This record gives sequence, C-alpha cells and structure tokens, in this order.
Amino acid sequence: MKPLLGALWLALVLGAFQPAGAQSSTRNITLVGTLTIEGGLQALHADQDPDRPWVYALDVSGRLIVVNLADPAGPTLSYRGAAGSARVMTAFKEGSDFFLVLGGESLVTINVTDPASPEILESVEAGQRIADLFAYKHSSGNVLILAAGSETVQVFDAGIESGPLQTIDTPDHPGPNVGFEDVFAGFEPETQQDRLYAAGAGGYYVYDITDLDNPKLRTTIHSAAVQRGRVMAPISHGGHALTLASYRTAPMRIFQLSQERVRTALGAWTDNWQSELVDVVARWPFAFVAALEHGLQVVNVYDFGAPYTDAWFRTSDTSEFTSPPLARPPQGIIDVDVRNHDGLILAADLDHGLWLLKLEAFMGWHGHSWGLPNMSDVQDWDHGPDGK
Amino acid sequence: MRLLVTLLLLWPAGVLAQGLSHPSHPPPPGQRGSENISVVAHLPLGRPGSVSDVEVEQDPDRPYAYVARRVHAKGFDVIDLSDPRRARVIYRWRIANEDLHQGGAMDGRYFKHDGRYYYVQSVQFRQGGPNSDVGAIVFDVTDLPEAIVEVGRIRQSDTPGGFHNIFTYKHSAGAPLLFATSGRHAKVFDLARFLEGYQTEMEAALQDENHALVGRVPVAESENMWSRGYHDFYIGYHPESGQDRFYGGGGSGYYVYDVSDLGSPELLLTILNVPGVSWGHTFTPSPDGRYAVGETEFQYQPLRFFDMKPALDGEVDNIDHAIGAWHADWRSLAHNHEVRWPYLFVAGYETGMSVVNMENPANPLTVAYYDTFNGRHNNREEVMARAGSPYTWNVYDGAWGVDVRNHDGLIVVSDMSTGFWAFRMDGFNRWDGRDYGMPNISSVQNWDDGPQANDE
Repeated sequence: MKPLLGALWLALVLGAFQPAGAQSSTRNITLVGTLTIEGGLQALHADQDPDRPWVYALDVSGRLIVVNLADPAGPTLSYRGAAGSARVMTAFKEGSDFFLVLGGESLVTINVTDPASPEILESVEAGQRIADLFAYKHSSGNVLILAAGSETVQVFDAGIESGPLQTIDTPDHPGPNVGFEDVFAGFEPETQQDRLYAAGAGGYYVYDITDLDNPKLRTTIHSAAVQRGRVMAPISHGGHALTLASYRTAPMRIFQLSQERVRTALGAWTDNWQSELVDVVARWPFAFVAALEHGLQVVNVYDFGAPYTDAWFRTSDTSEFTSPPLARPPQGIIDVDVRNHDGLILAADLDHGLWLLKLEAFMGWHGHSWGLPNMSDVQDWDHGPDGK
Repeated sequence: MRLLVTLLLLWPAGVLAQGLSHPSHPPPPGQRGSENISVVAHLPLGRPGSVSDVEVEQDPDRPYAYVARRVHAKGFDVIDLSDPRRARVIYRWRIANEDLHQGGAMDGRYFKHDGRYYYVQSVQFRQGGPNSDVGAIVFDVTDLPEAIVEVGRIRQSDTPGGFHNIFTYKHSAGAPLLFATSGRHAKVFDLARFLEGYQTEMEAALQDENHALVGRVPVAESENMWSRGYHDFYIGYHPESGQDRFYGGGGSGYYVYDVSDLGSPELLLTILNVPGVSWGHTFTPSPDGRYAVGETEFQYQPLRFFDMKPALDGEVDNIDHAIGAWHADWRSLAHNHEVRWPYLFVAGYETGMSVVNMENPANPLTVAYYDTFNGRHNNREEVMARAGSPYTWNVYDGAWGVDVRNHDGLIVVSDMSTGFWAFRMDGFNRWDGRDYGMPNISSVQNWDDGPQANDE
C-alpha cells in the first residue's frame, strides 16, 4: 500500500510542477486552425465578405500579410510584403473593389481586390503617429476613413491624398495628455445619428458626426482612474460602451452613455487584475478581449453591471512567468476580430502568428438576432448603415 | 523516498511563494480570516457607517486606542486595551450640539510633550453649521482612564472645512509637530507652541489662530492638476541624509519634500503621470525611504509600489511608473495602510484587513487577512443608504483605518460599519526596524528623544 500511496503523491507533486501545454482553453472554445508567422503579428482585419475568405494582418515589422482562410483548418499564406512602418489597419469596399488602409507615420491605401497581389495606390504623411484606423460607411453614403492619432482624430474620405475632411482635437480634460488611441463609428437608428466613439487623452468621447462639418461632442467620460483611454467599443444600441485603459491592472469598464458627462462605470471585468487588456470587439452579449499573455477572453456582458468570463483561449502558461507582472514585456494576443457571417474568431499573437477559433453556440452575429440594431465594426458597404 | 520527501517539502514552499488569495465575499463558513490571524477583540461601536480612523498609543504603559466617529456620532471613542481580550470602551467624547454640526471626526493622532500625553482629533465640519473653522481638537489624555480634558482647538478660518488628515511628528529639531491638510498646503503646527498658547489667561477666541503655525508644505505645480491640496501624508526621518522627509499624496500624485527646515520645504521628487494614478491618497515609504506604497482612492485601483531611488539619486526628477501592485479584490480598493517592513498592514474597505509582504516590492504577496466587513460588495444602493455617499462609487464601506502597536505587534482596525477590531498575526510579536536590517522608522514617534535616537 505504501509504494502505491508514494507513487500517487509523486504523481500529484510532479503533476503540480508539470508545465501546461503551449495552448489551453475552456471546453467551449475550439481551435479551428493556426498559422505560424515568423516574428508574430501585431494587427489583423478579417474580410467580412462571405465570398472573400481572407484575413489581412501586419507582422511585428509592419509588413502586410494576407492569409487565405478558404480552409480555416489549414490557413495558407497568400502574400507577405513591405508596407511601410504600419502598425494598424482597416478595410473598405467601394464599388466592386476592396481596399486596405494602413497606418503608422503615414497612411497607405492598398487595393486588395486580388489579395494575392495587393497594389499600393497612394501614401500620404499623416502628420502624427496613427494609433488606430476605422473605415465607416456614413449615413450620407460616403466612405470615411477615421484615423486616431497622437494629436487628433482625422476624418478622410476614401481618397486620403486630398487630406482630412475634418479634424477633431483632444477635448478639455484633467491631465497633461493629448491625442487619441482608438476610434470607432456607428449609426444609431433611434436618433438617426452617425456617432464617433474615441478613446484617448482624458478618457472617452462620443461625437455626433451626422453633419461632418459640425461634429458635436455628446458624451464625455472622465473616470478618475483613466488618464488615457485605449479602446472604446459601443454596444450596438449605442447606449453603453466597453472601454479599456492604457495600463496594466485596469479592468474593462462598462459605461452608460445616457448623460453628457460620465464618471462612474456601471460594471467592470477582468480575468486577472494583473492583466493588460489591449483590444475588445463587441458582439453583444459577448465581448472578445485581447489580453496579451492571458490570451483571448470571451466575456458575457448581457448584464452590464455583472459581466463574467464565458470562455478563454491562452497561448502561454502564465504560471511559468518569472518576471513581475508590471515588468512583463508584451506577449500573447494583441488583436482580435470576429467574422460576423460565421462567427469565426481571429486572434493575432505577438509571438506565434494567427489563431482561428470557434466559440460553442456562436455561429455568427447579426444585431437583429438579439433585438438590436445591426451595428458593429462590420460595415454594409453596399447599402449603408442599418436603420437608416 | 528521499526524492518524494524533498518534493513534498518543496511543494508547500512553492504554494506559499504565490501568497494567499482572499476568499470570495461573503467568505465561506469559517474562512473569514487566514489561519495565521487571531481575533483579539471586536467592539461594534454603533450604527453602521459611523466610524472613521483609528489610533493606538505606543507606550507599553498606556493601553489606549482611539476611534474617530464621523456620522451619526461626532467625536471619538477611547478603548481600554489593558486586557486586549476584554477590550472595552471607557470614554465617548462627542462635540457639543452634535446635531448642529455638518460633518464629523476623521483622523486621530496622539503625541507626548513634557511628560504629558495628548490626543489630537481632526474634524471636518462644513459651513452651515458651527465650528467649520476648527481643524483639530487637542485633548490632554494623560489621566486616562480617569479623565480627559479638552486643551484647545486648532482653527484655520481662512481655509474652513477642517482637516481631513493629520500626522503628529517629532521633528529632528525637537519640536512635536502636527501636519494637517488645509487648503492648498500641508500646514505645520508646533504643538508645544500651541499648548503654551492655551496655558495663558487669554480667551481662546482672542488668540491668534496662527500662533503655532510654523510651516506650509506646498503641492508642487504640474500641468492640468487633478487637485490642488493634499489628501494624506507621512513624515519620517531619513537617517542616511539626516533629513526630515514629508511624503504627501494629493495633487496629481505623490510628492516628497525635505522638511528639515520648516520655513522652506525643498521638493526632492514627484511621482506623477503614472498610468492609472491621477491623484494621490495615502503614501508611505519603507523605513529606509527607498520604496513607497501609493494609494489612489478609486475603485479597481491596486496599491502601487514605487522605487524612488532613481529620483533620490538625481537620475530623474519624477518617477512615472510603479514596479509592483497589489490587490485584495480587484473590484474593491485598499484604503489606509501602515508600513512595518517587510509587512504592509492594509485597511481595505470592503475586503477588511490584509497583511502584505512587500520585501520584494515588485511582487508583493498577501500573507494574512481578516474580513471585517459584513455587507455585500459593490452594492451602490446599500452604501448610499448607509454611508450617505457614492464616494469611491460603490465600495465606500468597511475597514477604514489600521494601526500597529510596535512593542507587541497588536494590530487594530476601524471598520466604518462593524467598529473596532484587534488582531494578532502569528510570528509578529513586535516591530523594530533593526530586526529587519532597516532603520527603526515608522509612524511611531520617539517623543522623548527624537528620531535620531531611534537607532541608538
């Protein structure tokens, strides 16, 4: 009996020290496919057209990468080429052509109608460091390119070489920061307004940009613990927003946008308070969060006051880290996107490359299925915003 | 078999190296505290929400603690700890015409001068009621348990609203000092001079209210400041430099001044533009003055640990990042704290009392806890009803203050709603910095011989 007990203890003890596998997940996450990209990825953007199984990405050197997802279980590299010093990207469609806009110190427009041979069309100096890009189909029918930068939010039309149509400065706020980190736009059917959501110096801001010549600041969120907002992702009814702040230990805060000035979060979520949450994509009732070494997290935000973790996928074993949390260099999942027509989740990994995942019972997303406007970062390029 | 034994020995060590995790709230039955914490005393003091800070006397012959009362009751309670397991309230001081006063008592500190003991109770009374010009009330408590006598009131009519926080300090030049939050400064009062003033025949109302005011520590200017005053501070002697140093939280972060010359405080460093820190609340250094713990009183904010060496060495003027952080529960926030290196004693509002090992400030670990709070966490409506304020949003309730008695390691806590607590932690029977290779510097003062004598 003694040798048996000893062996049992040994197995338990060794089990406790045994490193976990490189990836781990909750039962309700399925790893569909993966593609190792040497040097890792820093950004990605899924093509949302069901007939275009592509994902565009930027590696850590700023090179453009196009991956063919025709077989999600076996993604293949279609293109890899220089694209300046790009850090962020967005995509739009005009007519029957598909385009990317890449941002860094400059803005570059690329025709990717044939993704195997992208064609650089134009490149302009941004005049500021671009931190985020968002392509939006305005209710007027125009395609707008929104660029959040180290000084302002610039609004371009599809031809970026003609310069910005509008520039939005950092609003007055407590603290010395300037500029923006993130921008998003969506149409709100109830008010028939196009709204711009921005994160940056001082917190978070919502503008009415229906009349692009006269943007109106509608809501300001100055939360005491957020000197600089990192991401602002509205829920599709426009009444609430998921927000991230630009520092480790900050949870995802959820704010109600019903007042002009907001200070207090309605709810908050984190998987681990030492995490750094760097990106969030909203598909109510889910939020898909890129949490660096804590992987991809799926959060149920059905109750904004009590969000909870629904699923996760990790690419590294955090218990193996030896450096203190605040001294840890960025690693792991840095960007996330969700393909609405089939629910495919795409995650960019700073170390590994591309991960393709499915969440159990999440076969796709359309706002109407949840009784909401069909508003997300995915645009209807042919018909304009839902509810117009 | 030897391998098995070795592994079994290593396993718990590995687990302990991660620190303890606070239980969920409410805690499972029987798990309100960690196994290494013993409850010595618990005295509910009245209506929930009525309690603020706590102070314990440090003289082994004076077993008294003071608990300030800020809502419903306005004053302080004196607790006799002669037999800590039979702690009892022996005196309840309340301001006259209590109902007319808008506000209450906040921070309390004691000091000793010329062989007598005094307790200073800070108050904050708003205009619209009486005594809005009073910042603190000084009591002679030498004759406890028989009697306490009000000596006088420190008034600042140019900055009404009272003193939110105070700190009594034995300056290296010999004076017993009171540092007090007031307007845009930490005002410094010479308590010996204050007492002398009240020993004259002149009526208090005719005396110069600034006769004991000997210094003002400013908040260093920076761009677009969150606030202009201090919230809280700590003053400690720095043996290596021979300086009296002021560590203040407020403005847009944290500030360290050399206050050796009270007439001209010299800014040594700032801790500003730290992500997540727009304002400083409480700021306490390690005994050697190298590291500091900073708190911002906002929900979801951890305690942060700063290494001030690069600024103290002149490499930078400002520290803009923390090297470590600690939370008991990320949904809550820590409130006041006391450093007894390598331990940090935390009054964590809804998470109760925690003890943190900060020997490695980059990786602080919970080593003990006791949950003193009964209510639900994050219950905004309940907190509003009980405490009358949405301050810190929905976590403004529970353990407010903590103090540690150095000669025997007794830990005392004031909980806004559950009252006074006294604890002991296994293996912590006293604190003297020298036992840990540190200067013997803490919030505890050497009233007889001054800070220079602490390490003799």
